[in-house]
Amino acid sequence: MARPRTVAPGRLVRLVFVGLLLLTAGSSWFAESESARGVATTAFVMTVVAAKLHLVGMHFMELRHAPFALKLAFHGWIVLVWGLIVGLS
Amino acid sequence: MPGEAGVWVLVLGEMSMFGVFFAIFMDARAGDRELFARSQQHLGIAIGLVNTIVLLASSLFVVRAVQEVQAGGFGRASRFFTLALSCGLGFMGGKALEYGEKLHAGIYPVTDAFYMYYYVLTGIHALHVAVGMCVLAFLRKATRNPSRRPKATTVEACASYWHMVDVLWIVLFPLLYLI
Repeated sequence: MARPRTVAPGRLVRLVFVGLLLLTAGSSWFAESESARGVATTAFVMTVVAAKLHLVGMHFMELRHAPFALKLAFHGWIVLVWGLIVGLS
Repeated sequence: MPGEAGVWVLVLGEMSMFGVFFAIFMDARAGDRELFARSQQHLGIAIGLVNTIVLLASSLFVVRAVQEVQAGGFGRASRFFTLALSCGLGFMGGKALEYGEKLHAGIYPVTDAFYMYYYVLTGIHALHVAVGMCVLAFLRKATRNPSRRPKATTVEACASYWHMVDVLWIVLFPLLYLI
């Protein structure tokens, strides 16, 4: 019987780190290439930021193993910050 | 729960406080978009990008250190804390360079509203980085001492504070440099 494939914890966080670097580079390049930085650019950049915050929270801060209320508070903050920044831009 | 409940109250409290700062900045920006866009052009995106990468790397080293502590590898954990601390120093060095460059060019907190927010927001964040570096130095020392090894929950709690510093910069970087 085949064993379920698992990723070693050290390898998983290195993969997350590479993902974070790619998201950072990609969103910086996108924002720099946009001459008119309007609401759409802000919304895109902040969506990438939200994805990065989710990755840091779940994999670096170990929220994957946290109670639901803590996960909810952390992600609620992400949604609130996204809404504030995009809404006021 | 990773770490201790008290640290999460502190972390979420600090995040909420910065949430208010972000809203105040965006409200001021909405009042004078032209000025904020013009002033932002004098910020070098490269140094902000390098500082982001340095902080992300520091967080990776802290995660690896926590994993080593959980596995009982205190010696390796100490080395990862040293690497994370070096990244913290690198970040502060980058910030000092950036401030020096701006001040040399005659750009001060009183220059305009954008730069007032730039200095205040990055200054408060740098203060958090400095506190986080003290925490990392404590963990580095504690994991090196075989007679007084810290509990895994203490290390996780301290690590959460450092990751919060990273979380705040992940928002501050695009807020000041990109959008």
